[in-house]
Amino acid sequence: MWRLMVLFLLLLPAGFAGAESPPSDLEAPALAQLLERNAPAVVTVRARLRSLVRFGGDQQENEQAVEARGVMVSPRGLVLLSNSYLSATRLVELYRSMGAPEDFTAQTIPAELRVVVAGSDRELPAVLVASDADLDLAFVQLDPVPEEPFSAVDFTSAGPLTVGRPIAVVSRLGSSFDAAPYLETARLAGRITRPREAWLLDGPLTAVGLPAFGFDGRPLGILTTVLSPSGSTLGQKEGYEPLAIGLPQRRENQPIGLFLVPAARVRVAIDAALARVAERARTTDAATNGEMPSEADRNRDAGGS
Amino acid sequence: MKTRLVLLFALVMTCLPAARLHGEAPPVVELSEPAIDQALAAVYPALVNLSVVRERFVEGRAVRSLVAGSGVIMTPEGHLLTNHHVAAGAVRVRATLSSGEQVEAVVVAHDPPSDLSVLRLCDPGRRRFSPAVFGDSEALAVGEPVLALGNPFVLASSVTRGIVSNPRRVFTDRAGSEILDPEGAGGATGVLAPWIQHDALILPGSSGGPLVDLAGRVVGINELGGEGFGFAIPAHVAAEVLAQVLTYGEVRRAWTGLTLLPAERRGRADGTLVAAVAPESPAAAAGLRAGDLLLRVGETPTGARFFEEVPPIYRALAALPRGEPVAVTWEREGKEYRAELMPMPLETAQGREGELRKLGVTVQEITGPMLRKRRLATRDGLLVTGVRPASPAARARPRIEIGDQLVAAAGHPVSGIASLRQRLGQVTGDSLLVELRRGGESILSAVSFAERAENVWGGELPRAWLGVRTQVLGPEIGTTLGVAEGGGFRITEVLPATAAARAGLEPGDLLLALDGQPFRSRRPEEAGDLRQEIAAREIGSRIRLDVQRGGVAREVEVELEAEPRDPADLPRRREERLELVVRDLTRFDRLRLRLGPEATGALVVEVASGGWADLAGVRGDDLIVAFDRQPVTDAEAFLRAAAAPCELAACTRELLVERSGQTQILCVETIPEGGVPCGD
Repeated sequence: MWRLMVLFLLLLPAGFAGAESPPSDLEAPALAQLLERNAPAVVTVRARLRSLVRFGGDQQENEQAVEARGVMVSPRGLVLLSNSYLSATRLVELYRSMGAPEDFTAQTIPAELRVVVAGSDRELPAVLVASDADLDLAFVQLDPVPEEPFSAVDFTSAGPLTVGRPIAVVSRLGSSFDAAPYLETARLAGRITRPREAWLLDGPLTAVGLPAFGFDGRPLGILTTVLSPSGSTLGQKEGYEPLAIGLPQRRENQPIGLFLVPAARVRVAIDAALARVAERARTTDAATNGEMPSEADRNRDAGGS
Repeated sequence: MKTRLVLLFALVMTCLPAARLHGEAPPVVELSEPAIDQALAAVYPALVNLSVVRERFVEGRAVRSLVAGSGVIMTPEGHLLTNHHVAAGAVRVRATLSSGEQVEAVVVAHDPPSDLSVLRLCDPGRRRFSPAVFGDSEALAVGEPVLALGNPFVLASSVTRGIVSNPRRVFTDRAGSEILDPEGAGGATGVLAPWIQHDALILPGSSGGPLVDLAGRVVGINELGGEGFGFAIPAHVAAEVLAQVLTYGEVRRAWTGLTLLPAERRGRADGTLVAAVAPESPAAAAGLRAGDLLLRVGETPTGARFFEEVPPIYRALAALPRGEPVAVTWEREGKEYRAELMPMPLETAQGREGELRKLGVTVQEITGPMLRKRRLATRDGLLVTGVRPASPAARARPRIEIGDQLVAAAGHPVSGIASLRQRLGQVTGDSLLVELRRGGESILSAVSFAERAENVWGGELPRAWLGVRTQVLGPEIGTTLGVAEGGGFRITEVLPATAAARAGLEPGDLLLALDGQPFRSRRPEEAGDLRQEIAAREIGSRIRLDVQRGGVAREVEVELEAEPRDPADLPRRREERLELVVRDLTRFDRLRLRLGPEATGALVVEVASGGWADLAGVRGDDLIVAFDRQPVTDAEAFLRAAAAPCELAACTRELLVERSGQTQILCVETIPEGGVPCGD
């Protein structure tokens, strides 16, 4: 049964659903300003992914085009996005939790990565420099590094997280809808500490991998997926949006939810990714050699703690 | 015939146990042992068992598999007959002679319409082989004793005996029969002659072996069987095929475009009913139409009242001199017509197929029958039969699709597989324009060969880890160990040379708190909590663990280190020729595969199905330690060793791998550039 789902889900296209819970009129000017200020940092990432799915001795190789939204987190061209757009890690975890055998693995290798920046039609070449499968974050660096600085969201000036606090998420439509920027709002509805600290949201948001701001304009964190370690469902707060690699569409009773990961934790990952970029700049000679998989299933090899 | 053949074979496989229990051959004819001995003495030396590496084309790439069959030597120079369904797609053939000796063989010609292929044994020593001789298959009568020789179930040379059940057997079914497929477009093989049906046991692997009479003369070539039935191609067809191949190097047949049915359908005893006339065929040009009753070709009457009599008419038509007009006479609505018909060469139903690996497609040469069957507008270029996923062809804009005709590449018209392959080999740039014919459209497609490897640099971000494996302390275990209250973890393994090992943690230790915070994990699904807690810490930071060991509480301080690199993040190196992917060995691999800390080699992480490595039995997690006796220390060394040209004539490479604690040799066979040398 899960096998069928694998096949089915891998073929699912990314979808789109509208936002809800409109803010009051009083907040509108602040939100308009927030969108105007942060939209330039929200970019479109296009990838061609080679995927290798293996189970029961069978192997399927495929290639698919993916379009995702990401956010520039450094003026030098480092883009953060949901790892689930580029990697099958969450998918594998999900199916493992649903009883897939140990020999089920799925690996994705970005065969081509391009970033389209707001206000330009140009596709800028990019490289996947780092990922954090736990946090569901991926980092893509424009390559070559741009001469002119880009608009970026700065996570060092983060706002406080409290239940009830309204948040706004800045995203962009797909290129088929003019890549128009848009806003989604919700409130922080609760907090989990396991498997890690993350904040529950009270609105069904779509902007996975994108930053959430307080209405004062300060960034609060990133919307990412969290998989219930037990594979059981999240109770009332189910619902998340489709991820490119084929994570299920919004559906009842799924063990994955969309949460806000606090800016502090995101910042650590950003710093590590920036260190990678610097390291890469030092060792460019070695980098062009050979095929490197971006992202792999965190398989049983790494089973230690 | 293919589908039916497969069907029968499938039946054999499923019914085998029953057949073993109840399938006693009816004792019809008492064969004396001396008679059998005599027959065998004449033919046994000519019997060969064939092991064939077959190339098929699946999803845009060549996929190889091993096929077993039988054959019979018919000339002192080593020409042998076997079934086309054994030798089809053969890229390498190994023949085992009756002496047990193994000899390479090469395909001389295929003849799909008769399901025969002619092969030649390679013989650098120019020795003489012991050929069998043909008997008279036309003279076979029902009940005549016959022996079937071959290699059933790859059980080496076997002999079974039986009688002729029906010397002229035609497969018919409600829709007509095989005889409605004279061009063999549907894989029909019973068009040219009725088969000999007999009850000598025939099993998969017997295919291509001889059916002989008690004088040891070849009266047929066994083709298929099952459930006590055996079917053989009559010797007179086989003799004709062999003679043509020896003379022309191929089988030459004429094409008229006629499809025939027995005259009985019209209540007639003379003539043959024309069931269909291929468009633009010689018969169509002569004015023949479906429904006509064919009376004579030249001055020879073409009477086929019953199904069994139709194949000889086809054979007579196929034997017409090509390009020489012949008078045909037919009857239509009571009137007799006569016209000249100009037979054309019969083309093979399926053109040659090949892989263009650089592009990621398989293509097929377009033959006349394909043109008609697929209703293609032109015969230009090559037909795309498969597109490899994630290949340049699959990524081309617009993408190349199955059924496209590849008519030009880089502005040059495509004429054949070999020349196109050569042209592709000369492409130095990153891209290429190809012209495709798709239905009535002519489409230009841009193919990019740009490397795809440079889009990834680095993998997972480093995170802190301890270096232990643990189990979660549930209430059941906890109670027994005296920690009923709180949750926690029990160390099940301390990985060597890790922070945990240096800090003195031991298997069996109970971890109860981290920096004074008691663990809350109690349920199996919370087993990952420890890893999460540790991963949230900084690398290099120190943690304090409350540990209970042997009932005694103690504190252990650990300086966290970075988790070793996920093996899946390591560079993977693809060996294109053998079609496998290797990478370097990591510490995790050594632990997982229980290799010693000193182990080196190239770890196999992917084996393409149907590639040469796959065929040799190479598997994932094999550790390659030597290649052609050169030690292999890492992935790079393996690639270097594999790149060296093979020196052995037969190009068999010797791979030494560590698998499940033992070292074993795997022989990887490939085909040398320019094909297998055959002692010419």
